[in-house]
Amino acid sequence: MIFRRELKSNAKGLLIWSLVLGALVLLMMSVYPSYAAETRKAEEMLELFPEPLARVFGMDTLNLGTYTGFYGVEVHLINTLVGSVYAALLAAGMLAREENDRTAEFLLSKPVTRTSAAVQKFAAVLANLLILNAGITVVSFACTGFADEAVEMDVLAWYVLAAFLLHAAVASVSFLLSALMRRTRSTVSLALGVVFLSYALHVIGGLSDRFEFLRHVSLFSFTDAAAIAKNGGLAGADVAVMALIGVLSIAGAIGYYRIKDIAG
Amino acid sequence: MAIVELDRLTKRYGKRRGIEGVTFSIEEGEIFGFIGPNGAGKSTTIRILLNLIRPTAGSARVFGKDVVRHSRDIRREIGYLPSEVHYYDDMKAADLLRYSAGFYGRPDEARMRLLAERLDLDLSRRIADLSLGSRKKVGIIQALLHRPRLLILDEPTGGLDPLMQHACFELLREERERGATIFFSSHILGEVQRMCGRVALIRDGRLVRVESVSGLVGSGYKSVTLTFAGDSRPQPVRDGDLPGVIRQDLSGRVLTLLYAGGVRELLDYVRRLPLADIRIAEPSLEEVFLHEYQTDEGEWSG
Repeated sequence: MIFRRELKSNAKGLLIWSLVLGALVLLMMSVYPSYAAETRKAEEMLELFPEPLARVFGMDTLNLGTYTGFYGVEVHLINTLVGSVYAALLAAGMLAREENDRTAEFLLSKPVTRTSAAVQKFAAVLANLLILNAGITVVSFACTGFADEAVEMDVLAWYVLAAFLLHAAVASVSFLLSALMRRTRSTVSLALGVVFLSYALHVIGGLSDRFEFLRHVSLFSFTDAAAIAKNGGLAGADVAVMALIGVLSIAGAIGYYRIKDIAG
Repeated sequence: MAIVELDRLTKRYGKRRGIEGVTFSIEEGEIFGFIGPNGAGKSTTIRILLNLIRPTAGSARVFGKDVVRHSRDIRREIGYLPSEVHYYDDMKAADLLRYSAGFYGRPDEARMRLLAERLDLDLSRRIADLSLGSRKKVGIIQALLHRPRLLILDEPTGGLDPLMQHACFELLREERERGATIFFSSHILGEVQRMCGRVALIRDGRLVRVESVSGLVGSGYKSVTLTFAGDSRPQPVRDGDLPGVIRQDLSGRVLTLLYAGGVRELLDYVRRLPLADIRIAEPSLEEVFLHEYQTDEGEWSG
């Protein structure tokens, strides 16, 4: 019941975000052919970038003249960031909105356990993220048509998988906030704060060796495009940490929601 | 069999007052009223029964089951109307009712339309466009739709016009005939008096008493209204002149007494007064409780 209702009421938002993000990927990758044709010139242009800045975007490792290199620099970070904003907005509202709008009084007087209500709502979040990422994946692979070289499909697959895992982890943390808090506005603000702070730490951590440690506390570093390209995939440890964050957040959210006094 | 049993039920919210040691029970088939001023703890008590909030101490059982441990089973057979109704603005009234009914099984479309007709509610309107009174109607229908065994209604008539209040109580009487037990809170004593067999009175989070309505009203109190003649000076009853006056209130030419003394003494007393009119009646619950509250040094604020 709740799962279906959530899918339905979030359908319009999902459609808009999918279209925007899909269009963004398409737009950026459509530039790739002309870029690849002038790889040499592009490489020269890169030298104009200050070295730390190039490192932030993985340009020191990724080759802009290849499809996956170009994708890693231009698309991956946008994809992870914009998708994370969507995940945070969606998940942060899930439980808190019912209390904020006082509809929890209706919903939780129905014969449904708090656990089931929370699980169904998080399942709806995951389903939305799956659909969004399926869309991104389709566009990302379709755009390989722009390339006239043999694209490293496995690296591309790792990119989109990493993006999905990051979105899910961000959603889990936001969902925990949603269970803990009562006001939609403050919950959403805090969840977005986590996303942008995490992104900022990732960028600052890349600027200089002195700040490198900051990358270890940023969610975005788990899905760093340069690292994925270099290692040929996600590091097992990174996946484990993201999974742990997700599982702990969801368990915490459900555990707290089960005993929470619903605001009247 | 007791459908609802509260045993020293207590809810404390840090500094804010909750309820303290509330104990009473409701039998199957009763219409049971729950009255008290705003903020006395009526909603707190009711929300514990729905497991929306957890008791600090004591326990509550509905259908013989603990409200915390068997909450979902209990809620299967409850229809609940909160004091303030808030629904999803993007839904139409019919969508909300179908969503609600879906939690109990297949929605009964015919019953939904019938109830909407009785309460004069347009099901095709969006919740966001409904007036407060119409939202209340949606709330009443979602509480009744699945034919619950126990109806818990928090201030059911608030926001309804008198005609609709009447329609609402008609529906409740029919539910009772069907065998449902009804527990409703109110701060309007008149409706409690008309509807309920028994009432629980709560104030400052504590249960003051539980009594049958007939017991309260027929407790020997009389309401005496004396209207003085136009050319006389209205005068209150002086101490000692008429024993048994519990409360008196003089406004203009009209003196109202809550009286518990003998009839003969009353007649002897009023014979000497320059009266234009006299009325002796059973006091309303309102008058009795006004008395209860004032002697308990409280103010009736409902």
